[in-house]
Amino acid sequence: MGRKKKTQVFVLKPWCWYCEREFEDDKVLLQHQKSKHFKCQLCPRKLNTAGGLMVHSQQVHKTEPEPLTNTLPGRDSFDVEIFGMEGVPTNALAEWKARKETEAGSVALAAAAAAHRPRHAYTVIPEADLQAALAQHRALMAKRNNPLPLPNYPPPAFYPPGMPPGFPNAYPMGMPPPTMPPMPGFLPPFPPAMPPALASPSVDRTALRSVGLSSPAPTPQRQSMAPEVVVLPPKDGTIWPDVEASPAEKRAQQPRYRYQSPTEGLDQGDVANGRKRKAAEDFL
Amino acid sequence: MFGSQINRTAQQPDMALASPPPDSISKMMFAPVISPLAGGTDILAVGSWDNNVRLYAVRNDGQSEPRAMYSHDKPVLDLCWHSDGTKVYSGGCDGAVKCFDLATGQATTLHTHDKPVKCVAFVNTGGQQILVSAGWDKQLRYWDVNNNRAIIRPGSSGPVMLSDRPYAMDHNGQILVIGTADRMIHTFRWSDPFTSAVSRDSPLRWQTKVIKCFPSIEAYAIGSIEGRVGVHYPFMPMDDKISYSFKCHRHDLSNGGVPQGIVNHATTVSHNGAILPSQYVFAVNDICFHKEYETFCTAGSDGAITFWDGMGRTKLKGMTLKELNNGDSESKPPQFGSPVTSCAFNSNHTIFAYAFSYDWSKGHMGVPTANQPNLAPRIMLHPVKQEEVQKKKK
Repeated sequence: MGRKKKTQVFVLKPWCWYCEREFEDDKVLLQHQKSKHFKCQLCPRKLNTAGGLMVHSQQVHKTEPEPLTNTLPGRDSFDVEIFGMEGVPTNALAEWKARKETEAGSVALAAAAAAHRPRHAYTVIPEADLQAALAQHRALMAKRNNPLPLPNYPPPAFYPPGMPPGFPNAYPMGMPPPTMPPMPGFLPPFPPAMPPALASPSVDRTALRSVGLSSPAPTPQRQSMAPEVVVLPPKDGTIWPDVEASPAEKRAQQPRYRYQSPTEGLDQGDVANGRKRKAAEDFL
Repeated sequence: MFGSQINRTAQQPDMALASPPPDSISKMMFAPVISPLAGGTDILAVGSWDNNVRLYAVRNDGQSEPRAMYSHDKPVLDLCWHSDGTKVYSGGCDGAVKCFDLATGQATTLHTHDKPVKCVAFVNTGGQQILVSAGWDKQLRYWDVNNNRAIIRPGSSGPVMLSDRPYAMDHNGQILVIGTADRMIHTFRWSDPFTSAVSRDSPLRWQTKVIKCFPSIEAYAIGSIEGRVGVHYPFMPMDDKISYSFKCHRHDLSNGGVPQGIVNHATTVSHNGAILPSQYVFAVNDICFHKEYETFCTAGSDGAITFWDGMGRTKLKGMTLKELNNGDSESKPPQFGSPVTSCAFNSNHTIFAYAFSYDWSKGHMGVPTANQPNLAPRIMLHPVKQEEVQKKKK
């Protein structure tokens, strides 16, 4: 019974005041507004709000802007400042709501939905996911015989290796299992970038991030911004792992190419010289 | 675009340059104009890690032949052309800045740095013809090629010192931009080439790989080792809305797991902590601009090439690994081919050359062995199609 009710719960989707279109997601709505209504007619620039478009037109193109595009009649003015669902006139909002509710067929159901608090998918991490991530991490760690994360990795205080399986929600949000293996021989290891003070779990995420910006090591701290792609320290170098030197510099130090050698002629060796001469003859 | 007899279709592979260098190609560049010395053909200068600079004649139908060669004592890292197409300047690990004259066929050393010369650039500004060189000795030197003498700041005794080793440099008629190892970007104006007009952190968070200036405006495109390109206006405030960056030369991992292969990856973590499919991330090795349309193309360590419209913020054309017959990112596991280390347009933008060779992005492990002939250095010549380089109409 209760379950059946839930499926019928009336949910007001985000919608665009300018053209009365519904969207699945606030983000899509914003994207829509930018590209359909707040696009400059004179250049490819898309603005976030009508006011932004007006300022853009006045400052960049020195003209008064054209009325907004693709809108319903009477809704193309710059007077209403709308950003997504924010700023929609209250009467329009109420009207829309009423219309949707009648469309949904039952005002009573809508009232029931209002009585229930909406479910929040963002705050609760399902236990199963936690378990899966933990298991994956353990497998990786076991494989590498390296139970402790590397120094520039999230500090152990966050993530003790002997963590019980029923670990609660304090599991750091969005932490991938550290996947950094021992560095290959030719690459110097990363400098330990994380000062000890940061190993305290009380330190906040933004602080971590700003440290990450200035520290030379690649930073997994960006993971606190959930949907952002996190760049992990490289395994063996498609992202060049060495912050101290470029690939060309490392390469130039190889015996074959060496530039800092004090014994130049000897170093290049007969092989290289012979090869070069031969190549030159072939070539010319 | 190539001769009418060769009726090529898009599916046919691009033509390979005859007798390419045996070792990795560090930089290649077409002569900016066709000089009479070249016999009416485009000349492609190719600098290589085998210490040599080679010059090839490339005809408009894609036929090519070696023309000349000269040597450094150590690997060549960068080269550039005199604006009249009669001389090539190059810098290498031996610290020498050399000039090769097509008329005489002789190479002369202009001056030497204490450490390898990473970047050279030829500037023709205000009647003066200057060769700019930047070396890992952190020095930025200006050389008057007509009077054969160094140009130093009046009253000073030596070259301009950079904050760190230079990694990338480029110039246009207005600005000279240098990216250094400490992730700083130094921008010089020709009115005062001895002091940096703007020095600021790179707009990208990772090591700078390449910088190229827009042909006619005070802006540059910068590529990093982390598959990202930034378009930046150095004289605008840092948080201006015109500068932006975008990701490229990345490949999604289809299986969603952590890759077991040899390449590196980024991981996306969803809001509920589950690990989502992530990406292989590659360096942007080179950027080259179409001088006329101001569009540019990026060459990646993954072995793919993409054409972009930097102003319109759109992708014009991607030349995928498969199209280039250089590995296949969709196969399982993905086969990434030879990295593209350099790319260049010819003088009239009818031919686009790109060089497959190893860029040391995987250290020793990535060095192609003798039984991997498909990873050997090669240079391909691609007939440019208009839709690849021209900005799309709105």
